[in-house]
Amino acid sequence: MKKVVIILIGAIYIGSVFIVNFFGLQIDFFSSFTYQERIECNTITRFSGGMSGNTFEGRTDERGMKNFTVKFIDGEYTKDEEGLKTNPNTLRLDYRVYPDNATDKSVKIIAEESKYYVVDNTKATITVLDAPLGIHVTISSADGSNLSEKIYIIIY
Amino acid sequence: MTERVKEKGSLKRTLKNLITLVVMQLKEKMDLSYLGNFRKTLFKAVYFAIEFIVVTVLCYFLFYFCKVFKVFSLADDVPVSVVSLIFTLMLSLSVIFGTVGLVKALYLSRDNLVLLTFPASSSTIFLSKIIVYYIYELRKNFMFLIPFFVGYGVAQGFKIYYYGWILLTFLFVSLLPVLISALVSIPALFIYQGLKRVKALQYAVVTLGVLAIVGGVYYLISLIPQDINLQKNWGSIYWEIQGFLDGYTNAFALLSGLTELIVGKRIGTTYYIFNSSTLLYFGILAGTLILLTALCFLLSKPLFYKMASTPFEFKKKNELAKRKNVVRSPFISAVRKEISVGLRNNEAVNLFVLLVIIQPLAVELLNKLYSAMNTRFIGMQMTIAFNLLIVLLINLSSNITVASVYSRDGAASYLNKVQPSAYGTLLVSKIVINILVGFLGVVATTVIFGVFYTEIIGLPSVILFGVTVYSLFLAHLFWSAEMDIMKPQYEQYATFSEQANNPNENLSAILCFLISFIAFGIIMFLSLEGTFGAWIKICVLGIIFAVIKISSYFTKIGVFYVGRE
Repeated sequence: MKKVVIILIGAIYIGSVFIVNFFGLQIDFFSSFTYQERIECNTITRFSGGMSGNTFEGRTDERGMKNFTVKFIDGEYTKDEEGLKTNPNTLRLDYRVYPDNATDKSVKIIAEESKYYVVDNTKATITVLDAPLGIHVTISSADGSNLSEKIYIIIY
Repeated sequence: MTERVKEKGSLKRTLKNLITLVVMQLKEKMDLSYLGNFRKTLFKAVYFAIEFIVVTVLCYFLFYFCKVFKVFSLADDVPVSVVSLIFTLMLSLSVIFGTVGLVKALYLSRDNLVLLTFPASSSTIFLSKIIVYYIYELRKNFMFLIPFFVGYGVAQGFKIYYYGWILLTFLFVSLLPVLISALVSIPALFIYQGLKRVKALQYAVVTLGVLAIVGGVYYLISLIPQDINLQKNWGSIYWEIQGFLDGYTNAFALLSGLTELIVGKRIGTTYYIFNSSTLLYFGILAGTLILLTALCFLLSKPLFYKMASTPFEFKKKNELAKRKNVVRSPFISAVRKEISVGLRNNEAVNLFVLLVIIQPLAVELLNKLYSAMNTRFIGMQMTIAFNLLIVLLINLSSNITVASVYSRDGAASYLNKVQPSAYGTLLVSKIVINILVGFLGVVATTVIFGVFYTEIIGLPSVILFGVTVYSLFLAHLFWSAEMDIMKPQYEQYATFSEQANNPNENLSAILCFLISFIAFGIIMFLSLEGTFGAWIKICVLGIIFAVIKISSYFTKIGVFYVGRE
């Protein structure tokens, strides 16, 4: 049998499973609400211009708080939209909400207001404008389960 | 014949001989007649460009949707590991198919005896065969892999020089599977010859293979979760995909590096095509190619010469057991002969394994996956329609080789006319195995289908499913055979044991997909009104179609065979 024919049949075979799964399942109107049980943030990633860069692992200190140490890329940065877009010191918080089938996985990123950084709740990012700096961040559940994860980011 | 052809003349003459051999083989295997005609060349070029653009656009949309739905990355990105995985799969398939093809082309091809009489060294002839295969590989890459990488580049917004870089790297990358296949063809040939000599070993290998497939499928079935809901469980599925991609990158570091050579490396937030690793990976690739070429000349070439200069048709010792001659009808005699040939060259066995074993297992696995989904009415109809589609695709794709069933006789095709019986008798006898094995396959598949759907659509609908599949199978089978009667390719098969680009087989493949998708569309559309009525209608259509194609087949025999006298 020709190679192309085998590949196409294989692709259609696998594709049929996805198509039925996306378009053919029962619609669940009255499913129960599953609350968040835990929020974890083990890494933060340098994130700029829509592309991911280096990833930084957190260290848990004596208080049980995760600490992240990030090098500041020197430069003159501004708070306006264009300035935030081109700033290479944007850090994305790689948090994970448990359980995986929690109904509402949204969170709030809470940090003290400062002229040295900007928090973006929708993208879960913090754009740093100057260093050295220490930022206390709380990632809090938004589904009413009253959970949070506190982290500390050291910019040097 | 001793290997004492001295390479006279300069390097220029050797190169000229090489080019002549390559062009000659390409002219025989590919239809290059359009080159002499400007209009035909333009048409071919436009057709090729359209094909290239269509595949590129499809790949672009695939990557685009992966980025939008964040399938492989939370960022707006498709990681290189995904591209590398698909690239590795395609390279593996190329090596597997290339090995099978090169065993036939290098060692078992009838044109070897002709080529060795030419005023060129065995090395030149061997190299010409490798180059011809390399050109095929390059052409195949232009059909899929290169558009795939181009689509990726467009989706990722790479710079313009990336597209030139792809073409340059693929000149080298296309050589990799060809050289690996040339080396792997050595043990493959010995295995093939060993299995051919000892029938019991052959059957043992086939049995073990079948048991492995059955075991593999049941293992996969055991892994199916109770509730497959991709949207609900996307969180955990996403991280499992990430874990798999990380594992793949660690296990196949060299191939990941080769992919990085083509698409570049992400440093910080940007992709750089040329980076510190480019020279390293290019060096590794070049070194690997040089090593493989040297090994081919050291190992494959001597074997090629030995096999090419051995007339294997007359070497076999015929240990004929004396048996009483039993007079049978011409049809039965012809069928017995075809069954013997089919068993000897394993075509019958392969067909049986595909249709009677692999197909029902594939249907069982598919329906186990569907059973794990909580489908609504339209979802249920989709599962039934997809069952029909996939069963038809597998059945009809087994008929593609029927489109060259008469041409493969090559120079012996005239024998079909000198036998003292009706032409139809002999010609039909060549497809009887397909008809019988196809029937068994449809019965086995219908039983498996019935296990899952009898309660839902009823036993009469399940039986009609089987009848529909078999009638469409017969229609496509006779249609493919008819193509070979109307436009035979005897000359190609007279010199080559295999034709790379048989137009009849290509058309049969297209019809396979067309018929399958039309049947899928009809059953999806009709089943919204009522299941049993839908199956009655499609069954009747299938039977009418089969009757038309079978009568057309016999009509063509009357016209083409009488006409050729």
